[in-house]
Amino acid sequence: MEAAKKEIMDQLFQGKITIQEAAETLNISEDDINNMIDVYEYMPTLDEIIEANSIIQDNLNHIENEVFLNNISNFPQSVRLTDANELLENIQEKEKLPIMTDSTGVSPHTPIPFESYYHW
Amino acid sequence: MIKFVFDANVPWDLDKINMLENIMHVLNNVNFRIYMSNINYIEMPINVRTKFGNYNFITIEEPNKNEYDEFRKEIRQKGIILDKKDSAVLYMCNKINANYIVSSDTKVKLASKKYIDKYNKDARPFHILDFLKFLHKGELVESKSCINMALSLYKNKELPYMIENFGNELISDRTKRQSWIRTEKKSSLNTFNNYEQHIRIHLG
Repeated sequence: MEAAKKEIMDQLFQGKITIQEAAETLNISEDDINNMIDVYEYMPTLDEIIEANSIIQDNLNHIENEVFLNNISNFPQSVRLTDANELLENIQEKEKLPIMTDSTGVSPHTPIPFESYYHW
Repeated sequence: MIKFVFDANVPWDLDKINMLENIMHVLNNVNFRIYMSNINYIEMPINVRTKFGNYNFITIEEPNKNEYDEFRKEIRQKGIILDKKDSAVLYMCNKINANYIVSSDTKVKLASKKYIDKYNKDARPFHILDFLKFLHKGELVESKSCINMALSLYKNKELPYMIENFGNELISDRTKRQSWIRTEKKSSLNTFNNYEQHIRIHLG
């Protein structure tokens, strides 16, 4: 793709211009712009990566402090100890888990006997 | 029931660290429903599709073409710009009112947040690590397993991906680029192995 087109597409993905503006700048139809968006491989900017990481930070706080402490009653049929225990029983019935090998080949993770969690 | 929409990279990344079958086994026993658009499903290699798609709690859905085309245009008019495959993740979320949109893709995470804000949805964009943390919080996966998976994902997915991107940006000559990527990967993975082994030793 030409550098000028790429720049317009990047601006579009970054929310700096609208589809209409992109179409006018490149002198093509909005349908053409939509077709280009469909297949464009956009690489996020550093600022966008930082913004996306802040979502993960926010999620960590959410999961740690809100999901199962304050808002648990908002989760219909929430997954907690009951289901975990059922899972545990199901797995224990199978007596033995397959030995998982770390795909890196550094260290194999041998299953550990169950206590309260699902180990591998 | 908690409803998740998965991007193709979620099962695929879990498969890269040999954990897909284990996670599917855990999920098979809890009250989750996982949705994926067929557009994303067919992005995955066949062996990953087989491991992922053959469970009752998974729904793979082919989008209605007209509805999907309209939805894509609509979100783009609102400034949510995604390519065709990534738009399918949001389309599925919109269709089933998912609680969580899970993707490792930065673009999808950011667009999901925009979509949730603009459409006033009660949903949350999750990275694959958030999903694993969620399982841990639900006492389905122990901390040590979460740490192992996070390390493996960084090593087997993020690190090679980062080096390939650097190589593609910096070196135009194909042969030189491939040689640089190969060497940098080996070097970075070697360094990472030292850190990883120290972390694992501390974990016991």
